Amino acid sequence: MIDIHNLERNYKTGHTDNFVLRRIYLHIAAGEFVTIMGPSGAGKSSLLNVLAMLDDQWRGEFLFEGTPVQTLNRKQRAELARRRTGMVFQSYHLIDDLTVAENIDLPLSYKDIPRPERQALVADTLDRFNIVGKKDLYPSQLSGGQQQLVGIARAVIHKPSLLLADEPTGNLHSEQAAEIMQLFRTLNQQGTTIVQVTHSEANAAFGSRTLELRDGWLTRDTANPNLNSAPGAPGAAA
Amino acid sequence: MNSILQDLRYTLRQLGRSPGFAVTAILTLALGIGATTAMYSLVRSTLLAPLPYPHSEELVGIGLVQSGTPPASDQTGETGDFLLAHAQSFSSIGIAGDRPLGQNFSNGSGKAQTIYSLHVSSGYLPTLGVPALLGRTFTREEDLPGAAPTVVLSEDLWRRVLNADPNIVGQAIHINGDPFTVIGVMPSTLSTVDGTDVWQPLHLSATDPGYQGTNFQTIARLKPGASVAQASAELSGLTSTIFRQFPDYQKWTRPGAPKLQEFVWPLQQIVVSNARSSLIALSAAVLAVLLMACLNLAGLMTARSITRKPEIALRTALGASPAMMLRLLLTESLVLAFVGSLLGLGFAHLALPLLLSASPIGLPQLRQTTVDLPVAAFAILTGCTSTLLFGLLPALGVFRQTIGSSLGNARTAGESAPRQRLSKSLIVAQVTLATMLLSTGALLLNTFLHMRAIPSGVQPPHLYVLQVNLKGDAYSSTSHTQQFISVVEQRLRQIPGVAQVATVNGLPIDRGLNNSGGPANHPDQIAYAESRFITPGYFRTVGTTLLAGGDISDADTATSQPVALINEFAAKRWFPGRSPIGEYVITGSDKPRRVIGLIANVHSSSLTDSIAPTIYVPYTQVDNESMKTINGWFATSFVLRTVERGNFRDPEITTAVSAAVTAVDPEVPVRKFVPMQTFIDDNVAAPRFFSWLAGGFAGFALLLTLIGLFGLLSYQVASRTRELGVRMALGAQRHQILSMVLKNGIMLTAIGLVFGSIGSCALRSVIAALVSSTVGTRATATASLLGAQTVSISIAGAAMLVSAIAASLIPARRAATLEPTEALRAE
Ligand SMILES: Nc1ncnc2c1ncn2[C@@H]1O[C@H](COP(=O)(O)OP(=O)(O)O)[C@@H](O)[C@H]1O
Ligand SMILES: [Mg+2]
Repeated sequence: MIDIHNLERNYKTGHTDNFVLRRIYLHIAAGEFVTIMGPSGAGKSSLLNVLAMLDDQWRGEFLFEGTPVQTLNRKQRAELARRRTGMVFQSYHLIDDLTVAENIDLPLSYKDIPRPERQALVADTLDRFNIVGKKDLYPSQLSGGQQQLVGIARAVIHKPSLLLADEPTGNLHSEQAAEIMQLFRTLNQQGTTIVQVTHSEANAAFGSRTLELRDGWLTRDTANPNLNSAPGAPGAAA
Repeated sequence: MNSILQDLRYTLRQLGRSPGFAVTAILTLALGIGATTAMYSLVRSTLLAPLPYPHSEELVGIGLVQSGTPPASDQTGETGDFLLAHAQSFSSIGIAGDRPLGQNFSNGSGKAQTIYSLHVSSGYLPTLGVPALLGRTFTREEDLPGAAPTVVLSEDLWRRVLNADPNIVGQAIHINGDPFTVIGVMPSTLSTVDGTDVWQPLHLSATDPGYQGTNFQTIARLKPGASVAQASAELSGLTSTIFRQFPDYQKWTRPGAPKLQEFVWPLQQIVVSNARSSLIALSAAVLAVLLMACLNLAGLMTARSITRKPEIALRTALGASPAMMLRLLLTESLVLAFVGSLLGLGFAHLALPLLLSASPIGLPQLRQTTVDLPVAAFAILTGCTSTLLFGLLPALGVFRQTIGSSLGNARTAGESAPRQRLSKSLIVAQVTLATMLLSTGALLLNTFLHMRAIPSGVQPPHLYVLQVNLKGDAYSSTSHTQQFISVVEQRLRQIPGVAQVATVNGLPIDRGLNNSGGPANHPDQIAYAESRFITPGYFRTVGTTLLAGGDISDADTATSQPVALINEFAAKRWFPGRSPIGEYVITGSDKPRRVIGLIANVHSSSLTDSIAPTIYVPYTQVDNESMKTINGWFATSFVLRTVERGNFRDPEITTAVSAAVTAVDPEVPVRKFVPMQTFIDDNVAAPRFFSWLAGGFAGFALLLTLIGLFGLLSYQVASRTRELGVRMALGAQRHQILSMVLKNGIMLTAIGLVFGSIGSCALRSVIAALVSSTVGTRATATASLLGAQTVSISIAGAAMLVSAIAASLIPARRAATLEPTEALRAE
């Protein structure tokens, strides 16, 4: 599903280039549940933004379901992302003055979907996530775990093939976190490819594969023990 | 003390760090306060000022008017005399002519000049109660018809042209060529009210031609302890006696109109009566502007306190007590209020003289209109109150929230709902007010354009008017007047560039004699009609169409058959369905005149007047009595049509024109030499002035709304950056973000527009009253002048929407060009 070759991303701060992703080679097959770990500032969110096609300032090759993303223009990328990916955030990022149902409906509102179909999809999703009773509440009336549940519901309502989650349980108690992870596992089993960022080994254990980033380098991949021989990686022969 | 200084220093530094905020807040406040202060100063020197007379609260005016009319002191000679004889509530009563009249004054050596003289009864000046500066006022004997001619001077004239001669009393001055003995000089307080230069005895007598018309005003001083209400009650008791004694007054009221009645008002109200509705309307507009400024300030302060949230939270965390925070906020508000008010005072100081000189409505200056101590106090008080109310309160609300919540905890994307609602209501209120001001401006502009488009009945291009006053004994006979006119006409014809010359007493869009008139064989149809006096060629010169028959000629003399021309309106009313030529009409107590010509309708005293039946009479056929009357009351106008080329307004021509007059009679000064268009322009000056003013206010309101909307949306975009990032991450396209922000601005504007349109409709009757009080039409006629409300609201709405889009576009574009990855990182 995802094929990344020699991906690099840097931020210009003043006159100096600050590299946050360096020579990333990565293959993720459909149906995987991948966890990215690593210290703060390692580039995890940056990588996730690339995968979400929110970022378009990187260099290299990125094949998404066979489409070379680097050849797409801004609009085409956004279109592809809108159809095929969903995103879950650490701080949930629900919209304050919209109800639960309206928050869930948000991704659909940006697509050309007829209203009845949209309503049906929202109803389905509310049902699937067991939050029908909360559909008219505002985010501020929900607990953190419930808010993240809504966040996930919102991310998957349009049935994306790839779900990206940036520290989805970072603000939750371990109990609530476990529930969210359980939900991810279920979604994964139903066929959604998942890439999550987490600091928690317990959360990582729900996944099928773990990657580690350090200073922008991919330093570990449980699916590829030989990673260290990847060209240019620290410790590899030049 | 020390800590206050510290607060002040800190505040100044903080404001210095956000100059955009500081400048906008201060300018907004300064303009609001400036307009309010100027208006207050104006109202204080007119509506709120006592008359500059001793015990002025005892002074009243008595008016014989229809109930429902604004305060006035109109009386006829008859009813004035009646009141003198019968009214019991007053310790003294004074009667005067209805306005100061232009007279020709020369002090022997110098050039003749026009001065304004008020004819007063012997009781008039004593009633006002101001002692003479020199000499005395008129005795009862001096006021009797036939008494030796005497005059009382104003201090102003005495200083201006008589070098404050201390021995002036007892000497003679020349008015209209006749000598008058000066018996006194009155202090300048007196002439500030109506601009009188001299007072002459009224010599009221039943044989006066104007004795039975409302050509007089009556003032009175209440007996000690008597009230206006008591006096009113007494006089309304006398009204039926008046009608029994003088049955003719029923003739003057139109059928169905309210009856005439004697009313008593405090004199102050009568003096400011004309300016009153204009001043009240202006005050309302200015208050709306101040409110706009305050709403804007509230928006600015709220937004600012939000951006200062982290700082405040930090200070609180470091141990600052709520009282200390409050003091800091207070200091900032007061600094803004003070600087804003001072600047506002400056604006008012600059604007007042401009306003006074531009105002086409006479504003009686009962007190000098300046920025003095009470006005300054008013400005600062208004400034501080509005800042504290509209600036501090919303800011406090935000801070209370901040202090209550923990530091930098933002779980959700977007700002808090109640705060949003507050900022949104502020914008809606601003749009509402701005719409009302805009539509008022458009309505007044429309009125002005409508009035300007009313055909006057004459052809103003290349038409000039030379006005003189023909006063005094010399001009009380037809032959002398006629002689003067024909020689001046001859001389004017010789000026190069002058093509045609004629003369009229009662120029269109000016003033002239209204008389009774009608068909000679139908005495029952004789009613109010305008009389105009002309020389041959008048219609050709001014460009009024002769519809049928012929013009008068030199063959129409004092001894030939009496003739007249009548206007179309009179012909239709008096001789319906047939030609009026050859019919006979009567004007005043004149003999029947044969109608020889039919003339197109002309507006007699203002463009908005309804057309009146009008009779034109040749100058040569006016009897001595009438000639004396019209010369006494009205200016004589020479009308000059010039050749189409060249500029006729150069000084040489003005000199030649005035030489033509002086050569014939050096005692007659030129009162005016202006294009005919000037009379028409003066007529629309009030609506033009008000549309300018309303336009200015509306522009200011629009600007404030723009600033407010721009500020709110920019702030929303800034504070909702992360929300925008989330929306983009969830698939929102850039054009969708752009239209979301735009829609936000347009929605708020649209809601304000709805409220504003409702408000504008409610304002319409107020504006109609304003227009009719300043251009002198009845309110029914005003409705058509104002034009359609829908037009003015559409104009206001369009202006508002275009501005709203302009104000929203920059924040909207900023939102649409956000990088989603950056936006998501935003705090
Ligand atoms: N928009 C940006 N501008 C400049 N530097 C950035 C930007 N976004 C991220 N960075 C930098 O890139 C590095 C990696 O950031 P990020 O991907 O957020 O790390 P992580 O998610 O692993 O904590 C950090 O050093 C961060 O400061
Ligand atoms: Mg991160």
